Amino acid sequence: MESLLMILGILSPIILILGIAIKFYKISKMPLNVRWEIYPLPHESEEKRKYGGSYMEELNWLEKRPERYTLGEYIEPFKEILYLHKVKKFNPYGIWIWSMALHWGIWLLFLWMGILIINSIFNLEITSKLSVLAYLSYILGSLGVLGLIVKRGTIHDLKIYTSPIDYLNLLFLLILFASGLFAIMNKGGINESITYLEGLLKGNIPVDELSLVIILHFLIFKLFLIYIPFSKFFHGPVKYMTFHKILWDDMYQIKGSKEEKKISEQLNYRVRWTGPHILSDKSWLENAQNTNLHDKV
Amino acid sequence: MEKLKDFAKETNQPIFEINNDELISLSPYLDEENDSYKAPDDWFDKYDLSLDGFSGFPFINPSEEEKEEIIKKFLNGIQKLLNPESNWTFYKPFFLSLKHCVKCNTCAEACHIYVGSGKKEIYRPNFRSEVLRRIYKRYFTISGKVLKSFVGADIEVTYSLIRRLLELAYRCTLCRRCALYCPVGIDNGLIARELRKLFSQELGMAPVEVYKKGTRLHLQTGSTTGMKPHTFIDVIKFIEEDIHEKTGEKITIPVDKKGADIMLLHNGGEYLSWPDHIAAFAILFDAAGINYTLSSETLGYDGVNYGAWYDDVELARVGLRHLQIAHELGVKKLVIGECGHSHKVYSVIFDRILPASSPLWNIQRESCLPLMWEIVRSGVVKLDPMRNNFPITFHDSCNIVRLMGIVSPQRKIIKAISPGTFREMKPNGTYNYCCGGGSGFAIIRSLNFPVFRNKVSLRLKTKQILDTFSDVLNQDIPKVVVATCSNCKGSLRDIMKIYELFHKYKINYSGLADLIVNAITDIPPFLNLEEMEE
Repeated sequence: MESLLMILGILSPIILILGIAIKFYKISKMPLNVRWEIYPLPHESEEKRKYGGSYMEELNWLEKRPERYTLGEYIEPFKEILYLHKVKKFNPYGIWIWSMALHWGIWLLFLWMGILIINSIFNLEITSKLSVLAYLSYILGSLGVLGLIVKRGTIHDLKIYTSPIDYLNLLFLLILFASGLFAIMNKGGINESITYLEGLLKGNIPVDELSLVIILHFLIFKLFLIYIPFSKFFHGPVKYMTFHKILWDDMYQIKGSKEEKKISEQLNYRVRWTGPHILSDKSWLENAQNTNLHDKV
Repeated sequence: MEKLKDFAKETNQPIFEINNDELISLSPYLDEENDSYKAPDDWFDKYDLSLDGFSGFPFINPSEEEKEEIIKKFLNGIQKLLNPESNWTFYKPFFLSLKHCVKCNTCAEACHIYVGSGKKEIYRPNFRSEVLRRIYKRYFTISGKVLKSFVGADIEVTYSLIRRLLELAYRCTLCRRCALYCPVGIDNGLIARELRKLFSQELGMAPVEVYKKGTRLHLQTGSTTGMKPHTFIDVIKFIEEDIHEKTGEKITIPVDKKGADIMLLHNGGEYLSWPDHIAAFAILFDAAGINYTLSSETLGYDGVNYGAWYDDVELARVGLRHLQIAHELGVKKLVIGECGHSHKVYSVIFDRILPASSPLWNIQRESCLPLMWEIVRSGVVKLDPMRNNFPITFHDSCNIVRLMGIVSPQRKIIKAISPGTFREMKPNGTYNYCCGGGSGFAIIRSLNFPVFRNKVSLRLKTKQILDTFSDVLNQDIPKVVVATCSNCKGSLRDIMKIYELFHKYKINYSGLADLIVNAITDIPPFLNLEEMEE
């Protein structure tokens, strides 16, 4: 048992980081898509950002260097991460409050785990003062999950899009938060959490000294870390790709750039499609140049 | 609809019907009768109306063998959408949108069709995407093959399902407002386009107006209108004569002028439907001393690119030819006239269809709007704002605002050439609603598709226009909706006609160049707002 907990304790953050890194690497190796941005863009100048303007509003824009507010791209996601502002503004099913609770439950859980680790390494004894964060995390998370289960199960417009796996994911999170709550509500629960983390860092988890619920909670947390890159929970990290690399990617090509090289390569890919107007065995470039083509049939 | 898999139900009857009393209300502005439209009875046997009672595809129902073949090709098509080489153009955004939706349905009310229809489930932006996601899981993932409905892989591909998906791909105008709403960056508009692409590029299925009478006709004759080069020259002569008659000015419209600074590319439909708009550009550019030219080369006078709506190969073919023509003329810049999708194709999409070292890429591709603002701003043409002393609103083309970020020049122009009579629609700019005619809707005329468009797709824009003019509706003065896109103007024309906005409330529409020219002091007023252009 101890060995299993140790191995999972070491492997789970590694799998999380590696899993996300490999997925990001795979996405970055996908072909360079045609530009497909959507405005407003957060890296535009302050004035243009307000109304969704772009450098293409300028005469002879190619001769000017677009003014960019790079920091904007890194500030904008926090509106969603911390406040779910699009869900708040646009979602018609009243899920925002529950979704916020769930997301904050997760953020606070990571923060709490970070505090436990720091505490164990530096022996700071700060956990009891900050244990309110753990309570908040587990309570908010549990409420959020419960709210979302009820919403998904009772609102027709959400229900028909929800599969058993979605409920299972929510249930998994509920067990994570509820086990955490029970663990710290137990007498000495906070201290046991510290003992567990210290043991993990020292390579010796004293299972006999810990309650079952503490062991269970940390086990579920480790499984959660492992599950993130391979499940719907990856929707968080993937936003970097959907927003930064697609919807906010408005930069035009530059001569001699790696983008130019990629495009030249991609034009030589075989088309493969078999529609009546397509030369399947020819490249994209050959197909594009064939402007006088008549239907094959 | 109780379950998504009901979408695959084997029946030739519509899985639901649209009732007038469920549509978004246009009251108190218009009194509408509650009688709901129903297609002729014999159409249900002859054609496939099994989605919503409407169809834009007059295909004869296939034999059982043909159906099997269609199912096979459809699944092959999905495989090609998922292949980085055969779908390099959109593979990344498509794949990520297919994989990572959390089904929160935050996108729902972004869609003018979903809202306009009274929130019919199948028009929800996420509905068709979710059907495709479930098919993808069921046939292309191990978890879906093993766990089936547990992971949402519960839709079996049948001919009925494919046929409905084909229709459903044309119940979205690709305005991508839903993508703007999505907290995860999922692009359901793109998924609709990818479905259209699959049908065209693998099964050869596309509305006759966008394929046979669209890109095919464009590539073969030079224009989607069928206008050949010699007819184009005749039309130009006619427009020159018309300008002379209207203004007394003798203007020679430059055609095939080698070495001009600019090649101006209009939407070809303008020459036949709105020649006054071409005249407006000619007058404005002549007055401003712009060194430009039109092209009489096959394709060079019709800047539309319907491939943007349904087919990457056709998109590349048409676009490449346009750039070749500009290159042969030796111009520095290709300026796109008032056509929304053409704006996006040349300024945005074509940025990555050619490598930057290609001489064709190096022709600058710009919107006409900054140039028009420069003309107005510089004062090179004398303008009298009082000529435009009537309530004006502006309809944003999705392609120009949301998908290109050109929002400000057109507003600056209108404010400069009217005496404070401009009012914004709500919402506007990048959050505008589609006119209802985008992505081919305005030109698809087959079977009863236009009934769907007019009843459902144009509806929210109609309401928006009426809301915007609500305080002056009953005043006997012209009110004008300005649009900088030919497709949008087509929709506005239909709205004015079908909902009788001109007849009842004197609401008219105009291009932006037309409005500027109306303010030029040296010539008589250009617009006749007492009549509506049919």
